[in-house]
Amino acid sequence: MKGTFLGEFEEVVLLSTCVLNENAYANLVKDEVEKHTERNINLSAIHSSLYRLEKKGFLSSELGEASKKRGGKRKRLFKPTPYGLQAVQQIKEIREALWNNMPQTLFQNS
Amino acid sequence: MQQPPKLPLKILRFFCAEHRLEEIEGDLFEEFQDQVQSYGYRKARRLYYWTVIRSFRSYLFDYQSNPTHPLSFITMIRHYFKTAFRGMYKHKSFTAINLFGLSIGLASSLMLFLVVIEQLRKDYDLPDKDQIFRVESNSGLRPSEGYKDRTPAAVGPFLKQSFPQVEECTVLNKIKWDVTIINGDESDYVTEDFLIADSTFFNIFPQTFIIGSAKTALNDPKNIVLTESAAFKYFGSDSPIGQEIRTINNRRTRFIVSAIIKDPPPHASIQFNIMIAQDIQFDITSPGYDMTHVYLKLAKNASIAEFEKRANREISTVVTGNLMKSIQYRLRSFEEVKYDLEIPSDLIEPTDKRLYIIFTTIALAILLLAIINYINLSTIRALKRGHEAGIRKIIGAGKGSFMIQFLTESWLISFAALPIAILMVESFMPYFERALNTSLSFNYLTNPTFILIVFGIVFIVGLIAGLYPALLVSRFKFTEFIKGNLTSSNKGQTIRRVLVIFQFAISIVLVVGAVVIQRQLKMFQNQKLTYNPEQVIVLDKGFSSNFDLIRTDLENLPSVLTSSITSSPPAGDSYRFNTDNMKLGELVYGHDIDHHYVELLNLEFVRGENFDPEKTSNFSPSVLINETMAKLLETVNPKQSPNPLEEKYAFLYEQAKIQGVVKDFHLQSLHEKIKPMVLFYESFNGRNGAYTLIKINTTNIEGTLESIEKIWDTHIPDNPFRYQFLDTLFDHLYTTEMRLGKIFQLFTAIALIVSCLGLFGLVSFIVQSKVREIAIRKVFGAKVVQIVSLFLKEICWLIVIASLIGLPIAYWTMNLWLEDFAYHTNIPTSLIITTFLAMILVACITVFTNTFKTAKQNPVDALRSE
Repeated sequence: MKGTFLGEFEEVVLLSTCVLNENAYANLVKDEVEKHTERNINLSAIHSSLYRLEKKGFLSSELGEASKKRGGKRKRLFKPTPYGLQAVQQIKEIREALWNNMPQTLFQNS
Repeated sequence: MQQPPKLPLKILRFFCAEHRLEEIEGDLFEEFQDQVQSYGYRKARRLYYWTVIRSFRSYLFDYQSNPTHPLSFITMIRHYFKTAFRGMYKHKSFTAINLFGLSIGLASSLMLFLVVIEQLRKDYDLPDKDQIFRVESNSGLRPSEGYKDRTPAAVGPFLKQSFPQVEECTVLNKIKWDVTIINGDESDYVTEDFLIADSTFFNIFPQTFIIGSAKTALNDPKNIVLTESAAFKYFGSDSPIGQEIRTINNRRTRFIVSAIIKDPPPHASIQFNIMIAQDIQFDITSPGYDMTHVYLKLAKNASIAEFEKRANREISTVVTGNLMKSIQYRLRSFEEVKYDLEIPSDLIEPTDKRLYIIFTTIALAILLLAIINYINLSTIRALKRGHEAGIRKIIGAGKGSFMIQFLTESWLISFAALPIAILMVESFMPYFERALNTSLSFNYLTNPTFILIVFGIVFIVGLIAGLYPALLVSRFKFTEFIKGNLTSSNKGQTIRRVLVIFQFAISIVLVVGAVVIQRQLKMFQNQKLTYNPEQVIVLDKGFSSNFDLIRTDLENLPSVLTSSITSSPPAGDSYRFNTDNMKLGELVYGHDIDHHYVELLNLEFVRGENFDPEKTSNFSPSVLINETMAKLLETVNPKQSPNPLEEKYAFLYEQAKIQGVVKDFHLQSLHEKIKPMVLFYESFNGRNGAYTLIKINTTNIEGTLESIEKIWDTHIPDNPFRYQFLDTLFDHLYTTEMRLGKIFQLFTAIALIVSCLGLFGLVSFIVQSKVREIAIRKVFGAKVVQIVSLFLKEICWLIVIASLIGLPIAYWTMNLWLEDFAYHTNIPTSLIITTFLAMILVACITVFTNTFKTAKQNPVDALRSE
């Protein structure tokens, strides 16, 4: 079942890529993930996830433009594939279904 | 704008796959700029370094799309591993044979090497062992006797006093004494190894003290030092210090525990359980002497030859008495002592160096067999993959890449064999240790050097085994590959055959060796004794004045045929004595025997008659001698008499008449020639230390032993009752040979198995390459028998050549080994022929199992296949 499974971190990265909407490249994804998870993340972890997601077919990528801020290097822009979108949606549905069935009493005390 | 640090960028640029470099570099640059702004340059720099280090992940090494990268071979290696695994999986039986053969080879050589290492590691923690020497002495009155491991004790302290080179000196003795344990009314006896020494012992051979100290432990003759295990044995968890230990012994019987030391480690040459102090004053000027072990520790760089010369001179100036004056001294280094079989010693039992050489040789031979096997099998498999190799070559694989591919595969197999081998070693070690009768204390798995060496060996094995198939395959031409069937090629055929011949030659040598050792052992066990050793019980030495009562009572038992009291039993210690005043020039052996001895051992008289207890007494001495002694007397003829055997001789003190001459009989190991022997009469009426021999009929051994013990306990209640059958006593004399025999058998079997695996591989290869030939022959009417015999002929030739090489080598080496025994078996022609035929048979079975199936197949299947 290789390629169908999404790890927790991968899911967050994938979602951030979706959120950034066609603008996603490693640094932005990193900021996004850090913002939402309040974790300090190394850039290499983002790279690793992005490339793996691409290999699994959740993301596709193309080279963007070079800019001075990047020392004249182009960036790789990632965007979710239809398969990736479907996967995120599926996850969301699974979670929502589970949440709907959550007994109300469970969270009353906390 | 700040620039990121250069060094990490360079590293990144080198390792990173080309197609990823630009974007990653850009990302890092951008992040660096952000971080400079938020944290300042210094921290950003540090973070940049950190990110580069963290970037060493698999995405960085994704070289697939740019094979020109200097590190792209990593992809290739990954690929080699993948194909290797697939190949191994596809040819399961090949892989299994390969793996099995190699791990058996590795395991057996590992085991043998462990034994050798155990020996090499002996005393590894003994400080300055190259400075430790044993003083040996040789009496000038009997030069033929050679140097002995013991010396007059007083020599030690004298040398220490007179020579500054002598840093330390210790005088010691090792004896077996019985410790008495009083259990209510009854007493038990435990034989222990006692070391008699003083505190100087600890200066040369340091021991670890648990309680007490080296200085005070032995400063009183009443003191006794126990090892940890001995202390636990006698006192359990009670505090042993100050407790009493009793022994049965004539002079010293009660001791007080003064110290506890750790047991001597198993790798120490000097082993003992209990230590007591010397209580004799040594006097170099006294003409009499006690023979003891004397060990010296000399100063570094002391000249041994010079020291020996001066020591001999100095000693000769102070000693008195003919005997002391005649003694010559020499030094033997501690290492030499351990291997000098010429001078047996009870303190440090010398071991046979040749045994370890044999072990190493066998280990290497088996390893070699396994490697050859591997080469043969993997070559075959390599050739069978002609298509694969061809395609590789088209894509552009060169010699080097073939090489790496095959080496990867063979390393993979070798390193897979290693854990299997270690598992085998671990599971068979207990049996092996039992066969060897030693325990291996070396914990090899936790020794980094050893592990490293083993890895090195496995690496080399893999290298050798993988190199040949790689070279062979890379030699083929492009077109040959594409045709696919490389297996029918003649290339490398000769080498494969030579290897099989070599394998079988080694196996033949081992088989002949194993059989000859067995024959020699059989001969030991069935040696022509005049008596049946299984029928004779030897009771351990006792001290008593009641031996004559025991003898009488024993003979009243219906199951006892005869019993005899003697000072030295067969296969036990013999009393040697000097006949210096008789000028025989040879050492004579003497026993005290009673009048039943001759009957019990079935000795035959050449002349004269047995002792008659009515007429003979201790006061009118007459002796029996053996034929060897008679011959010695006749040739030397010290009295210049026309009738030397009629003369009286002072064998010990008094002039004794020769009452009779008995035929030579074996009392010792067959390593030794029969010694000149004098048998003195002793009635054993008074107090004596003696052994009891009992000849029984073997119908109800248990009941007989019980009644014997009862008799012993009534007459000598204060001595332990211990017995042994004479055949076991004799077996003890040949333990080395027995071990060698067992080990040889085991490893010969292993070698044969490995060789047969090799042959199996070769034959199956030949068969597979000739499937079509067989089919065509069958179409033309060949029978299965004819086809099988076609292969048999080919293999039998190999075996014949292997025999022509192996048999002479075996004959020569085994003769060399046999010459070591004074009485030895021969190597019969029948053995040579049987070995040859057995080898042919083994080969035939291998060939037959392999070819029969193919030969029976429908030829259509084979011919249609292409």
